[in-house]
Amino acid sequence: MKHADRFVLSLGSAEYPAQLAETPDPPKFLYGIGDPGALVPGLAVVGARKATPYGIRCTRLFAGWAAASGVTVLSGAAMGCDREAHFAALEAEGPTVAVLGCGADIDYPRRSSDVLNRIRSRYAVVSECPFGQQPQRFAFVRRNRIIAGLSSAVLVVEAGLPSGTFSTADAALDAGRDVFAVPGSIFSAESRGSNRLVRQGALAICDVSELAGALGIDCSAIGRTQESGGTVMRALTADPMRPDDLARALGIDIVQAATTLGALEARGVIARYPDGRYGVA
Amino acid sequence: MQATITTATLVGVDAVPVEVQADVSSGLPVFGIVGLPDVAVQEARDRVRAALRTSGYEFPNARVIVNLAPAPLRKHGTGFDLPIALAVLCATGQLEPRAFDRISAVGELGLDGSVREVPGMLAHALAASRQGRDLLGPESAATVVHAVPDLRYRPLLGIRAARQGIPSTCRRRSPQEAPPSAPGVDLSDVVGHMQVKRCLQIAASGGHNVLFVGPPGAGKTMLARALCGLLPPLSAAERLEAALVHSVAGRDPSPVLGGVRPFRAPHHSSSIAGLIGGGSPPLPGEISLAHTGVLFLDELPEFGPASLQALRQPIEEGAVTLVRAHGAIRYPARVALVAAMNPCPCGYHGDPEKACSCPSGLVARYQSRVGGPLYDRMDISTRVDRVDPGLLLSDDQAVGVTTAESRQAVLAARAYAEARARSGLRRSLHPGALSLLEHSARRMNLSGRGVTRLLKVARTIADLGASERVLEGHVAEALTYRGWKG
Repeated sequence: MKHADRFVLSLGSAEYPAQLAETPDPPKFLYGIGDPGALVPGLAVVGARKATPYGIRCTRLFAGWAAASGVTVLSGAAMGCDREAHFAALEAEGPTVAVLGCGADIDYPRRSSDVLNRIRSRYAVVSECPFGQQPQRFAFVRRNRIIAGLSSAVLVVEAGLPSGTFSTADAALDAGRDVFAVPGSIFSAESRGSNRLVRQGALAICDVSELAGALGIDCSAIGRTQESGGTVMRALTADPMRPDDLARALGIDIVQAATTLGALEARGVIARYPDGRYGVA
Repeated sequence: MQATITTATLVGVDAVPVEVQADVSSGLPVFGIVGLPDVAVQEARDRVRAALRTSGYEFPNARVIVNLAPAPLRKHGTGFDLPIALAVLCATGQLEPRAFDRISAVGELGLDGSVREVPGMLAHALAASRQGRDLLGPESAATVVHAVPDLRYRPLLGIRAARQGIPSTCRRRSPQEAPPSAPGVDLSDVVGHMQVKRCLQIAASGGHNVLFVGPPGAGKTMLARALCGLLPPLSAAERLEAALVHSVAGRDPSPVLGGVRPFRAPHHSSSIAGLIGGGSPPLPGEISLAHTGVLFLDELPEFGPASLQALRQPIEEGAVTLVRAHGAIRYPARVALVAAMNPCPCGYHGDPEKACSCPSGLVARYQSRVGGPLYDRMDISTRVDRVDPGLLLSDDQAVGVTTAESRQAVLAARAYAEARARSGLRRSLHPGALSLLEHSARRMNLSGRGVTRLLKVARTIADLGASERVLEGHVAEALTYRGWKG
């Protein structure tokens, strides 16, 4: 890593991001690597580390669209939704900023190192921890307020209960940011947190055009995201299920259920979750 | 005066003939055994001396040398007691040597002269019948040794009885036949788990290895047990082969002889020698004890990497070869392998109800503990999840098929596979199935081995459906049983 790329912004200096400075508890120094000019108000996209294919897909959809529309996608580079958000933004050739809970030069988690390096070279990776600081547990909760503070709105794509994602949502509310949530199946444990956010008043985002409207972006050319399919497809769209449950719910035998699931998965319209359930890919 | 009695010593599952030669000559009274005896054979001196005295014989007050020929072969075990005693009695003229010409003797002696069983009676019986000899041995082994066809067995209660001449051959007794599915678990005892039951059916039909992934308490062990009952009945040759291993290991071979397929579930702390066999003298390991039956490895990632590595080759070859300084020993090890693992150290990764408390990096590391080569041998992978308690308590639904019903399908599929034309796997693929296979292999990043495995499973599914060709649906179903590592 070239030292020339490193920057330190102190609270009160002209380069310090204004939107962060006005939050209740801004960090005194912001250490970063890359281009400090990338720290413009954007959309924070956060979600569970143990994301389901549904969560991944939502992240890809919304983060990819936002980045393609020129909105900076902010996230924490963690496994699951966070990493996918950065990835989608990079793929869409759009701006994205990662906020870490360790030194901005540390690749954590390790598996995000390729994504982090790409962000460092084009946009910015920032942290309130000094360079070289190893990851510490408490630092990650603290960094969530920076993600919220740097953004103009926070989108929670998928969150279980309890979830660290809530601290980002709380920080966003403290800082007066908008909180959006992508609702999920009422039966899915992985969506319980985001569904609760909706109940508590977060704006439910069910479509790219709704997100665009919420961010005040023109959205005349955006298609719908709903899809259609056979009985199995419809059942799985409503609620990811294990083959046993699917067979019982539809009154078909297990061989038929497995055959249909295999064929749909091969077509790429559904995916198998780590817990053996099948859901929309 | 000299006399010779024939016996045998165990080498692997074979009993190799050994001649016990006794020489009684005048000189200082000694009792020596030569010809590479181990400690147990050396101790025979004290047992033989006492047994002869208490049985009303006379131990010669002379120089007694016993030679075990061929001398370079290592002899071990207590089965030499009886032949040594008989050789001494013949050499001193207390018994008629000619009576033992066509006899092989084996048995341990008690101090009171009683004849006891030794490990490997079946191996001794097989060796005797191969040499065309009658076997003289303990009364208690009379049922077991008759598993060897056309063996003439002469049971001896105590060495005292030999004075009245050698006992005549006894009537054949056949071991008790076990009911087909006993004593395991019936499929209908397990509520729900329809997909897992289907996997077991496929595994039993095609001889595939199965991996269960699921949280604790989901019923993995019970389901693995149920596999025993799904497998076809054991042939007479298979029974004997499996019983031989049990007999050599000093275990009761009668359940296997009765047709019950063995189920072995070694603990994950088992040593390599315990799993594949070893020790001195070598004994068969768990994988050989499970021969013709089911080897269940619960908590697969907890097994040491060296143990798993050691299991790999026997699983592939269906036999264990132990190479030692004094030769190689081969134990049979054709098993249906069922392995089970928790998805993560806490066991709840991906559980719909209970949250997993493991950091995500640890989950991946835990799963990677099962090395690729062994993982590659698991043809069928399936999640075994906890069944909804409501379903568990409702008695009428979701019980599904019984073992007997599922077994019918297994037998039919095996018969179909036997009868169908043995064309290449690829050639029996329907074009639609081929394109689905190619498409999904690219999409799901399947390795070459993964594709082969998928194809094998699809072929078995086609056999279950009595289909000459592998159709698209068969491949699609097989896709749902692929592993989580791709």
